[in-house]
Amino acid sequence: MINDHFLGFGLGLRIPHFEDVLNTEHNVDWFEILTENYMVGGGKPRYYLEQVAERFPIVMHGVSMSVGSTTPLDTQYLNHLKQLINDVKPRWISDHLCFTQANGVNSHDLLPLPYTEDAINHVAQRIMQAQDHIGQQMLIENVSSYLTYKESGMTEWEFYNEVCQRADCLMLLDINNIYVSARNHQFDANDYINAIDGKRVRQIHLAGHTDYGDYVIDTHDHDVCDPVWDLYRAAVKKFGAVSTMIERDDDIPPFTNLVDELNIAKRIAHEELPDLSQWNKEQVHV
Amino acid sequence: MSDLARLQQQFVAFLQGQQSDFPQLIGDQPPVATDIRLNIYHNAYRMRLRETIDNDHPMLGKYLGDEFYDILVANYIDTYPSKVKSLRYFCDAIPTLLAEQQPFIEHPILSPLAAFERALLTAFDATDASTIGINDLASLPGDQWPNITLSFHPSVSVFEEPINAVATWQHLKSDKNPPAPLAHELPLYWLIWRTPERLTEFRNFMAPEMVLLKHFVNGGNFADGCDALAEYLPVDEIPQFAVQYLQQWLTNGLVSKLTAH
Repeated sequence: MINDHFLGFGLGLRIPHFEDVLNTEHNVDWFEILTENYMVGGGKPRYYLEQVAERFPIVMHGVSMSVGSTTPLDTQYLNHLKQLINDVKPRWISDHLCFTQANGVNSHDLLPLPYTEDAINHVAQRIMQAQDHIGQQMLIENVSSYLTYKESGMTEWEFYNEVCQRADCLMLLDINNIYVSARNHQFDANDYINAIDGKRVRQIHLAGHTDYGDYVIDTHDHDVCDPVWDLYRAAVKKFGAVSTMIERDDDIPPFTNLVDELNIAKRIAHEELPDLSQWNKEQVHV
Repeated sequence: MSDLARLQQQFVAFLQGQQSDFPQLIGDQPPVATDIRLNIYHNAYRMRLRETIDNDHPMLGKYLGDEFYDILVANYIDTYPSKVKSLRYFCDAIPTLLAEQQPFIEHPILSPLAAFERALLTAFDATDASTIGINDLASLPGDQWPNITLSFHPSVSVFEEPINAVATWQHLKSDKNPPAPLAHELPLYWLIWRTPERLTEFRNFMAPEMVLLKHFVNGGNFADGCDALAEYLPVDEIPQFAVQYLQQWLTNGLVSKLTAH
């Protein structure tokens, strides 16, 4: 059974692809924008976004809400976010399970939280505040990490599930991030997938990384690798049809290359979900 | 302070290269050494900020060359850590640093060159607004002219240049050797705007046009604007020049609104 939130298979909307997205034939169902890139008054980015949004469903993906920070939520940022939501009318918005700033300094990185009961209470409370402010449920994404804290008392997936359950938010499950963290912290990525509360998973991210042998860095500058495709297959088996997209942020290839890569995701999903052939994308694109 | 707050403060202090107990909070996870794990974050922090400077200031980077550019990047990241949510605004203080810190202060071309690059960026993504054309002026009854006021497109700005920064930028952009720095006796003024086709444009303009533009920006009307031009132009030529300026602004797509009071 395909749920009403399934948008199909999408891509991150990137500047070098604006013309291709609008002026070539392709089978990309929807696009994700990086929220902060469009928090500007106008000009080319907003012009193209407006046109893309007229033809394709859009979702918004933020990197700066810093739901894990211990300083007060930035209401000015939330107001800008609310304004952009009003302008773009995305199907949903997302941000990350992390903190990005402290001491008044923004790291512009997705810094991991300790997996503790205190952190769960704190982050869940902040997500609820943010959801109240913008008037809608958010998706929260798992981040890649390269270190663990001595004080962490549970697994990442236990922490992630608990935060989302207490905040009553949805999940943006990044399969590549699970793979990267599993390699860096030597756990079984399938344990992570199997433990996730499937009813909250609204969107899936796929991406590439850089493999340094003993560790892996989430760089979004390579194609999706085979072990991540295998994990994606496991995720599709467990969660069913979930809106899936590829994130590419560096060494961005031609648009057609990404479309080809997205077709791999589509093929895997169709192989695992026979019902998917009955899905009519025109219904969700209205 | 909570443990979580302390951990976050220590983490960010570590990223900034400050004294921090953060490494002691990290679990040991062989075979990858804790130092390597920490450096992934430290390097990513500096790399991301450096890429932002690279993207925003390509001509400044070319002018400085690798050695001085590396010094600028390191000093800027340390002196002006990001306080903003969007990296779009991270480099806003680069012209200030170049005007204040050694060795850059010895080269007065640098700060205006960086300021010009930022002015172009500001025009690039300034707020959208519709513009009016020359026909809106042509249909204006003659008796309303003295009282008209103008609103300009949000991308319109005036760049005041004390030294040949724009010529330097233009040479670097065309992959030519930049001219020697040359301070102007009096500042030059450049009009910067984004066209209706969303292209960022700029042109040099003389004092009378700049005075009239600033007069309108400040809410003044046409008649008073003509009076302000008396300092620069023969009185009998003022109306002709003023109308020409208006026509050019309208043709270039600089004007959002013309109000006849």
